[in-house]
Amino acid sequence: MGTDGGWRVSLYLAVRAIRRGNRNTLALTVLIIALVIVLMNFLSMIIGGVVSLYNQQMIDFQYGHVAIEPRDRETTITGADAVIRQVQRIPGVTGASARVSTGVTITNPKNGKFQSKALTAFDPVDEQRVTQYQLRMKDGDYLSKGDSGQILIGALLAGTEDEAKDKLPSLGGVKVGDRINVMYSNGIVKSYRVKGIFETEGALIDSGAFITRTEMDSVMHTEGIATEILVRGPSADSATSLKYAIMNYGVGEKVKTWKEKGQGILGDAIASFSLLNTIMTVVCLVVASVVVFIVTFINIINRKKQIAILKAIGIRRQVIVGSYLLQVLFLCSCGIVLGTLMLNGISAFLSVYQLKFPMGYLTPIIDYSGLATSIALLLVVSVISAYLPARQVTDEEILDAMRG
Amino acid sequence: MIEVADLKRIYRLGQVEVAALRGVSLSIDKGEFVGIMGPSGSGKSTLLHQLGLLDTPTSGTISINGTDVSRLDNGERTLFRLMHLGYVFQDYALVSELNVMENVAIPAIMQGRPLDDCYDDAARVLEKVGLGKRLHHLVYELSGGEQQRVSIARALVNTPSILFADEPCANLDTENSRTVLELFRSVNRELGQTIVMVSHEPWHMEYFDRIIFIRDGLLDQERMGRVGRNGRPGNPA
Repeated sequence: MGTDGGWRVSLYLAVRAIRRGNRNTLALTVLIIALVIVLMNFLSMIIGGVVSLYNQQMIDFQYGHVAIEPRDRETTITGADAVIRQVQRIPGVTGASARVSTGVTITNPKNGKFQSKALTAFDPVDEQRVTQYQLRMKDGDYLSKGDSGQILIGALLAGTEDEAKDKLPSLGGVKVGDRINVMYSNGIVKSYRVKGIFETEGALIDSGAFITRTEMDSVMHTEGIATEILVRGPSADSATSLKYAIMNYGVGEKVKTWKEKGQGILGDAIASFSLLNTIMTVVCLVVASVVVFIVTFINIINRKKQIAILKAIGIRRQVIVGSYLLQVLFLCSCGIVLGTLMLNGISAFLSVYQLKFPMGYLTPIIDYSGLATSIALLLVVSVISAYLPARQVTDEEILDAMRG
Repeated sequence: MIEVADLKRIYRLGQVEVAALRGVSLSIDKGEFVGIMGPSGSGKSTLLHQLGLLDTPTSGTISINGTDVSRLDNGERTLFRLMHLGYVFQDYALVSELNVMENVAIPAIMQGRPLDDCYDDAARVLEKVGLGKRLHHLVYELSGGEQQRVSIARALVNTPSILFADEPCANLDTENSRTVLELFRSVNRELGQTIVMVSHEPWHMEYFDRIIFIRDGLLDQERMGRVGRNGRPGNPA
């Protein structure tokens, strides 16, 4: 007969301590651990949502999957039509749109309000294969190929008559059918009928304005050139391979993926969020470890004499420590399951009742690898926090502990 | 069965040394029910703790069943206690989250025996101590006397070579004390269980086969010559 019943006895003691111990303490500890899990992952869930939203908006409204830009020391892509034809032959390319942007001043003649903006021209048929403005029309219609004298503007640029309600400087309440004046850099001023107002919820996007290539060519003589060409491929993840495919097809202009285009803008914000997230994680881990330490310490101090007698009758110290570690692992596991459920519940709630950010309505995204890391950290910290008091008390001499 | 030679235990309290045992030699035979008695502070509990491997003597040797237990390290002492010794304390300290049968079964489970066997043995011993109908009760549902009987059952479940009892009746009234002592006498007679018990109650003497009197850390030779309940003289080695 040996003493290989060690872990069996630890488990035996732990199971019964959990089953017959103080339910309120157990529930409260599980709840605290669950809240720690939620707090450790909440911010990264929001950051994940922000990043995803921002990325999707960059792809759907700003850059497509890949953007082709003029070569160094050049401001335009010459022979844009040829580049478009070349790109469209690349396997996986689902759309390519040549854009021309120019600085203009847009004025609402009704109230005299004006805004200086970049006016962008595209071929509406090509463009809707790359971006999704046609799906975000708040009012009026999307541009048609050959439209002239008509303009598409964002909801924030159109604005409202009550200036206090505007989130960005606007034209003070332009509606579909209204006429607005556009003054080009070459001095030409032209009146346009607002054909449609789009709303993507992205602040920068919704303050933009678009006309057709035909219209731009007639004013600025931009035939055959582009300031950028947007390309859409099979998926966002394959943008890098699409970029190299475009370069391999002989396109000599600068080719950038949506990620390369957007990283500078959101990068700093994400780095700051990540720092906050790390601070919050550390604070949460400290809270969790203190809670587990206190719960275990109080539990074990109240049983000091009982533990001494268990040791006296031949129960090894490791077995007693093991029973406390198993109890803590159980509490943590319950807390982790509850916390994960709460996190998913919060995520589902915020997916229905979405948070509004400057780039639009946010759908939280749980970072499951981050969640796994936080669970592993929590388990390690909790086990250490339980081990220390358990070890401290069980290390005492039997007679000293029995005397209290 | 137990051979003790020149056992000394000196405690250090700051700069002061206190000799709790000052050279005790004795022997206890298998099947004896031995009482250790003496005035408060005489060293009787200290002696029991040395014999029961709960403390380490400063010098001297203790041999149990031919094993020099004073040479064992901590792990070996724990294993020896589990496999060969049983304990009943003044403070019975049962595990509050375990029911009566589980409390008794714990030392058996620790030996690595099948759970069903452990429960069978626990139930058998509990029947013996008169708690056969309270197997599934929780500790707080029992009286002090019943709890002490549970702790006696826990001490007996592994059929130890020696049962040590350190003032097991100190927290009990006379009726419950008598029940416990009758129980000890019964397991001693029926099972041949060796029992070494510390007590300071004169009326407990009638239950002992032999009494080891101790005073100021030494055997009280004068009283050792007197007789125990069954007329056997005290017998220092």
